Amino acid sequence: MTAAKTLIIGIGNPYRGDDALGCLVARGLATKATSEVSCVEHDGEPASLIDCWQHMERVFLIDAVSSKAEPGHIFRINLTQQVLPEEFNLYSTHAFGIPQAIELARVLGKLPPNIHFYGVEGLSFAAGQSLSAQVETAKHQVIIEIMNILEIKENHEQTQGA
Amino acid sequence: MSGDTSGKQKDTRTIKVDYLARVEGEGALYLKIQGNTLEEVKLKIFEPPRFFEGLLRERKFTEAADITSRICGICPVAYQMSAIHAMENACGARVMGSLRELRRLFYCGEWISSHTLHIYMLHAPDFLGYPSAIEMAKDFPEVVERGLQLKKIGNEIMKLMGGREIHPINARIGGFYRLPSPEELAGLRERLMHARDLAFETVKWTGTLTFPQFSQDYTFVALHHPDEYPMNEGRIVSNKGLDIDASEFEAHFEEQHVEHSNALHCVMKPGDKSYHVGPMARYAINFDTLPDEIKQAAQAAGLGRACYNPFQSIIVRAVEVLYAVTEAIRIIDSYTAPKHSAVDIKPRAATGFAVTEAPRGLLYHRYKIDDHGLIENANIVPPTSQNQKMIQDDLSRFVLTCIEQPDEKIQYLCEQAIRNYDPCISCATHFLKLKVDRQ
Repeated sequence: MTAAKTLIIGIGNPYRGDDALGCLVARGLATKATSEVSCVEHDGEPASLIDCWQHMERVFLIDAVSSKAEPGHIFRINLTQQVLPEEFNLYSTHAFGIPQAIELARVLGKLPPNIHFYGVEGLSFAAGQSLSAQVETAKHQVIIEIMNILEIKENHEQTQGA
Repeated sequence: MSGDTSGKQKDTRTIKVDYLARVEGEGALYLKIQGNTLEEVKLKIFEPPRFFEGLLRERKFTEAADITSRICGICPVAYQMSAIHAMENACGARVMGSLRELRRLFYCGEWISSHTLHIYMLHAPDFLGYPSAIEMAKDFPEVVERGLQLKKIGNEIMKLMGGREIHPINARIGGFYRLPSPEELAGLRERLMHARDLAFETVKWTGTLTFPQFSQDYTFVALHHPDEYPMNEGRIVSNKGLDIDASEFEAHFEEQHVEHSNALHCVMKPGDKSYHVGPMARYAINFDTLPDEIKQAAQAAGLGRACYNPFQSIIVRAVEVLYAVTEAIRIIDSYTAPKHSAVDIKPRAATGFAVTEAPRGLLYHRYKIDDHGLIENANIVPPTSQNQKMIQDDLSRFVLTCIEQPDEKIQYLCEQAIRNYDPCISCATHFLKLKVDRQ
C-alpha cells in the first residue's frame, strides 16, 4: 500500500448492462482495499464529482465507454496529462457531464495531482442485463491492474470472485 | 455545436445547425431566408420518442412516480411530484402539513440544482462571449466556483429528500419512505445560510450582464397560489385571463404532431396559439407572493414586476434560486416531524390530474386508474413541449433583428435565443441541430 489518499470512483448505472462496469469495479476493490483507499460508486453528477475527489492525492475513475472499439477493450488515460476523447460518448445530464467536470476541475485547479481514467468499451447498455462476457473479463483485469498499482496483495481466485 | 452554411443561389442563404450545444438532448434548427425575409423556421427534434405513457399502462399506481422520474435526469423531482399529486387526486386524497412542506423542500432542491446548472454552465457563457463554461472559468474562476457551490446545495437537498441526487427514489404516494432526521436538517440549514449569500450574489451578478433588446408580448401560463410562490399546487393562470383547475388542462391546451419534430407541440385553444411557461411566466404571475427582500433584489438587478425579454430569463432564474434557498430555510425552521413518513392511500377507479412547476415550467400529468390501482392510460405534457412553438415564434421575430448579419452570427444568436428557454429535449420527446436556407 503506497497511497495515503486514494479514491476509486466507479461511475455508471448498475442496472444498465455494461454501464454497471464502474460500479462493479468499485465494489470489487472495496472488499480488498485498505482503510487508506476509499471506493465510491457515483452517478457522474459533475458538481458532486469534483467535490468528492477534493483533497485526494490519487484518483482512479472507472466508467464504461461507447466508442465503437472492440467490446471489452480497456482505455487507460492519465487525465493529469490528457483529456477524455470526445468519441467516448460518456452520457451526461443536460450537456454537462464527466468530461466537462474533469476539464472544469482542471481550469479551477481542482483536479487531483494524479488522476487516471479506466474506460471499458461496452457491448450492451440495455436495462436489466448483466455485464457482457467481454466486459466481465475486462472488469477483472481492471481490478487486478489497480490492485497492482496500489500494491494490494491478494490471490487471483479471490479477485475472480469480485 | 457543428453546422454548415451554404447558398443555393446568390440571394439564397442556408444556415443549418446540426447539433445545438448546451441543451439537453438532440435537436436541430432550420432557417429558410429569401433575401432579407425569413420564410420558415423549424425547430427539429429528432431525439427518438420514448413512449413513457405507453409503458405506464397496466403498472401499479404506486409505480408511476419512479417510472416517470426516469424521463429526465435533471428534473426528476418534478415528474415524481406531478405523478404523485395526480394519483392522490385520483384517490381523493390531499397530503397536508409537514409532509406537504417536505415535498416543497424537495422541489426547492431541484430548482436550485437545475437553475444553477443552466445559469452558470449553459447560459452565462452566451453573455460573456465564451463557447463553454470551461473557457469562461479560465477568466472568471470565482464565478464558476460560486455556481458549483450553489448547485451542490441543491444536490444535497435532493439527496436528503430523494435518497440520491439523480432519479431519486424516496418520494411516494402519501409522503416519503424515509423522513430526514433533525440532525440532517440542521446540517443542511447551515449550508443553506451560506448558499443564501451565494444566491444573492448570483442575482446581483446576472443583473450586470448585457442583454439584446427583445421584449415580446408573451402569454405567460403558470401555476398561481394565493399564499406562496407555486411549486406543487395552484390553479393554472395566464396573464391574459385564463384561470383553470388542472383537470381542465386538456380542454384549454392541445398537443399537436408536427412533421419535423418527434416532440408534440402544445398549443393554447382556441386558435392554436403559442404560450410561454417557465421562470418568466411564474415570476410575472406570482411576483406578489415573493418575500419583500427578494422582490427588492430582483428590482435592483433590473427586473420589473414582470420580465418580457427572454434573454433576461437568466436573472429570473437567479431570483428563483434565491427564493428556493430562502424557502428551504423557512421550511426547515418551521418543521415539526410528522407522526408517520406517509399516509396510507387506497386506490379507486378514477382519473387524477396534477400540474406542478418543473424548473422549465408547467408539467401536466393525467392518469386513469382502476379499482385495483392499475393504470389504464396516462398523459404527460412536459414544459419543453409547451414552449416549443413559443421558441419557434421567438426565433421568427428574433432572426429579423439580425437577418443582415453573416450566417455564422445568426446561427450563434439563434442558439442563444433557444437556450433562453433551457429546453430539455429529452423531456420533450419524451429535442437541437440549425439549418438556414437562404433563397
